[in-house]
Formats: sequence, C-alpha cells, structure tokens
Amino acid sequence: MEVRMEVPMEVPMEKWMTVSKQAGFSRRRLLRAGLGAGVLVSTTSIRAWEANQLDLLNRFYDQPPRLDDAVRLKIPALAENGNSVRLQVEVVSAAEQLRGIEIYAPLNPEPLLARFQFSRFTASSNVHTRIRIAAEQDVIAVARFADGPSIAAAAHIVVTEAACLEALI
Amino acid sequence: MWKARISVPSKVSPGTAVTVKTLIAHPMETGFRRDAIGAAIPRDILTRFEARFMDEFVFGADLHPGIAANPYLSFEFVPPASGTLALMWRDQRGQEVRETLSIEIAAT
Repeated sequence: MEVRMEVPMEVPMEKWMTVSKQAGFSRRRLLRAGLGAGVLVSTTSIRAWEANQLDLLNRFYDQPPRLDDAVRLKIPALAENGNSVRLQVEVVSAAEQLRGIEIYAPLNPEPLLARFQFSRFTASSNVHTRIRIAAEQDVIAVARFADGPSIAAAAHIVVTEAACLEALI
Repeated sequence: MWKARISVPSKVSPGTAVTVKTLIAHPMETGFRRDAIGAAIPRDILTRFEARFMDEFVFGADLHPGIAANPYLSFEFVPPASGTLALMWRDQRGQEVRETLSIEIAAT
C-alpha cells in the first residue's frame, strides 16, 4: 500500500525535505502508516488496486486471470533482504484439475520466478520456496487448470535491500 | 557437485500426506550482476526440480533466476505404498544431481 505526500512539483528538493520534516514525517512513520492503511482499506478497494497490478500480466496472458481467494499466496509484507524472501502458495479448489502454479514478480528483471507442476499424488498444492525481489511490487501467483480459466492472487511486498541488480563488492 | 539436504519422515501412516522439504547448495547466479570491474557475471542456475515416486511423476518445478540462492522447495504428497522417492535437480547445462530415499507406510 502506497502513501504519497502531497508536495507540489515546483518545490525544490531541500524545501521538500523541510516540508516533510515539519509535517512530522519520517520514513519509519510513513512505513507504519502504510502498513496500517493496508489493514484499514476496505476489501473492495484492495481488489480494485490488485486488479490494476494484474494488468502487468498482460505481457504473459491473452486474457489476464481473475483474482480468486482459492489461490493462497503468502509472502512477508516487508522484507529486509530481497535476496531471499519466503513464499508459500496453495490452491484450495479443484485440486484434481490443477495443472500448475506460476509465480511472477513483474518488476524483477525476469518476471517469471517459478512454475510448479502437480500430479495425482500431490494431495495438496502447498508449496514453499524462497524468491528474489528486485523492488517494491506485487508478487502474483497464477493457477492454471486443465478445464477452466486461470485464477490468481497478488500480494504486495516492500523490500529494504533489493536483489538482482547490486554489484559484487 | 551441489550438496542436497532432504527432510522426509521415514515412516508414515497410510493415506496421510508427507511433507518433503529440500534444500540444495547452489549459487543461482542470475546473470544480471556485475563484478568489481563491471564485467557481467554469467548466468548459472538450476532450471528444473523433479520428484518421482516409484518412477511416477509427483511434483516438478521450473526454476528461474528469481529463485533465491540455495533453492529451498517443499511440497506435499500422499505415497500410495511403501517405496522410493527419487529427487532430481538439473542445471542450465544439463548437469544433474539425484537423491533417493525410501518411505515406509507403517500399518496402524
């Protein structure tokens, strides 16, 4: 969830800093406000906001998958280190028709992170792994079925130290 | 080659799901990084993980650079009988590491 400060464009950077200090803003407070907002904003607006994020998937799908609670995607809301972020995904409906789950981080240099396939032996589709996150974004899990349209879930993540693009020191 | 660690209960009761946890030591070098003099570090990643039980496909994963170094994967399956679970990791050059372990169905 993003919290934007309303600062006119023509205000120079130094002023900008002063303005934000006067207003009692700090990165920490902003972050807290952001996390709080995430909880307070109604479900419908979260849905609309997630739907926008899904547009990023147009690159991969002719028809973007619809969001569905049957896809359970769990990642931390805030990760210190983008090089290793816990991820859990599970699809809780039509298990026998489930063909696969794809994980995307649209703002990573290579957005497709992983693709999982299941079989008649996998009683649940509960998968855990660790991923890399290059920037604050929405991670998206898409479930594909043998007999129907794909469904998806999105989860927002903020990283303090991004992966992928740093140089070796 | 890469060293794999696997955690599976050796005995399970019939019809219950087994959680297979795997971890393999591999850098998963993305190919997007550069070294101190600015030269690109070539990509070196595992691209495929597969689990088979008595030669039948159970679970598979296509891995990309967005998977963290030392890839951790866990999945759940119900073994139909006592038998051998075979795990395989393959890298982009086709090199493979294979591990097998037996799972025993304990009658209750």
